[in-house]
Amino acid sequence: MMRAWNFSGIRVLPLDLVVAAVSIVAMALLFTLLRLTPVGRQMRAVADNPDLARASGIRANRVLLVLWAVVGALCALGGFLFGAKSVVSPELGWEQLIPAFAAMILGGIGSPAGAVAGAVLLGIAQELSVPLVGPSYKIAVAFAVLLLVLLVRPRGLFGVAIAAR
Amino acid sequence: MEAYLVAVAVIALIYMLLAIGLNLQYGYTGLVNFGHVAFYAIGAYASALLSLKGWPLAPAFAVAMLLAGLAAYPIGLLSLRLSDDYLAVVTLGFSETVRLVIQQEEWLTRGVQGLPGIPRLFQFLGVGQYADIATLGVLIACNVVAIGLVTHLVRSPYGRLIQAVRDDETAVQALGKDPARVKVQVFMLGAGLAGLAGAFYAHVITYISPDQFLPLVTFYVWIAIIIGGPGRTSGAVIGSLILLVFLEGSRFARDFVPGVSEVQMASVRLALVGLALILFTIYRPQGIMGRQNL
Repeated sequence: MMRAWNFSGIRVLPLDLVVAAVSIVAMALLFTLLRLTPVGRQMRAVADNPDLARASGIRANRVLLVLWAVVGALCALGGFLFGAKSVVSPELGWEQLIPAFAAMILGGIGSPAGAVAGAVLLGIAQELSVPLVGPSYKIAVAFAVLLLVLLVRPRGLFGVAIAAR
Repeated sequence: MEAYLVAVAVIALIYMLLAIGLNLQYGYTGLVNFGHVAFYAIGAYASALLSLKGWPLAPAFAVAMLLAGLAAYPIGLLSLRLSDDYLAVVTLGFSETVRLVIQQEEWLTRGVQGLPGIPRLFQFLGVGQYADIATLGVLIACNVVAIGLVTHLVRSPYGRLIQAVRDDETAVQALGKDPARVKVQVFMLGAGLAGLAGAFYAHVITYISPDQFLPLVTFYVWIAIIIGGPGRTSGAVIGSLILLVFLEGSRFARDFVPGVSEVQMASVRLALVGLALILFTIYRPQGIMGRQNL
């Protein structure tokens, strides 16, 4: 364990910086995969219109396999970082499910940058709500944010407008 | 042994009420409700708290149903604006929020300590066989009434309307019907049934605590209607019976497998339920009672 660095009152542990760095690298890799590689383009094509993608010769099954592998790897990395930062328990993933959904919808479905922004905003909202409602209501705060976004701005902060979610 | 069988049958019938409600929502109307346990919990707590305050059981049950149905109203309104997967997440979030509120608001629910000493059904018959069998009888009657109502409902013009909403909402709108109102009504009806099931549960078990209302209960009910066949009331009935045989049967299986603790068996049981579900979706996606090409 190392001592926390003190930036004019804001304390940062070296571990926090490692976690932040690893997540930024992971995000950069994901953006590269989605935007700059053929398989990323195929993924976006399948998401947009599976039939059309299939008709233009994209092997949708293979794309979905790659997609799930990437999702699994990202989740594992998330679990690893979460474990490094706090306690590991069997319910670890379950407790993140609703906040993760809320973050995704807040950012806007189909927008990776939105997901990142949504997650950061939701995380801040959850932590700031602790003095008001107590630490146990974190999931409820995520749920409230989710509801609010779906009612007020269903496409999220960065999403493209779709008639109905 | 008879007492045990009666107890298992009672639980099976409670699950059956839950399954009939969810089947009405998902099977007939296509509403993906992943928060069924929330209405079950609301029913259980409402009836338990009222009866602990000295209310007679019949009005307590009625209020439990009513409250659960009313709690579904805002969620039903939301369901108008959300398609399947979004509704699933919102309802799941709702059920977890309800559980958190029950856990945190100790002035009302005593939090994680739970509510002990809830009056048993038919207490005047004494503790034992007669009260148990009377409870079983009332539950059977409630299930028969619920099945009768749902069967009648889905054969009526209203039933054709809700199934049309499931199949093609735009077409229903084009015919000048209002899918929105129908969805909210079905949501409230199903939730009311879940509330009734919750009230029965509270007065059968006589002790409730927040950890009895995990989303696992919702998923058990889903498993029951997927195995039984969504969109078929007989499917909900058979599905919940199979589910209970499975859950209770694996309790006995432990006697034949040495060196497995009760906690480990609970995990094995979950894994087996999951495996059965996967096999069903692969080999018989329409469920046991489902029609072909559904």
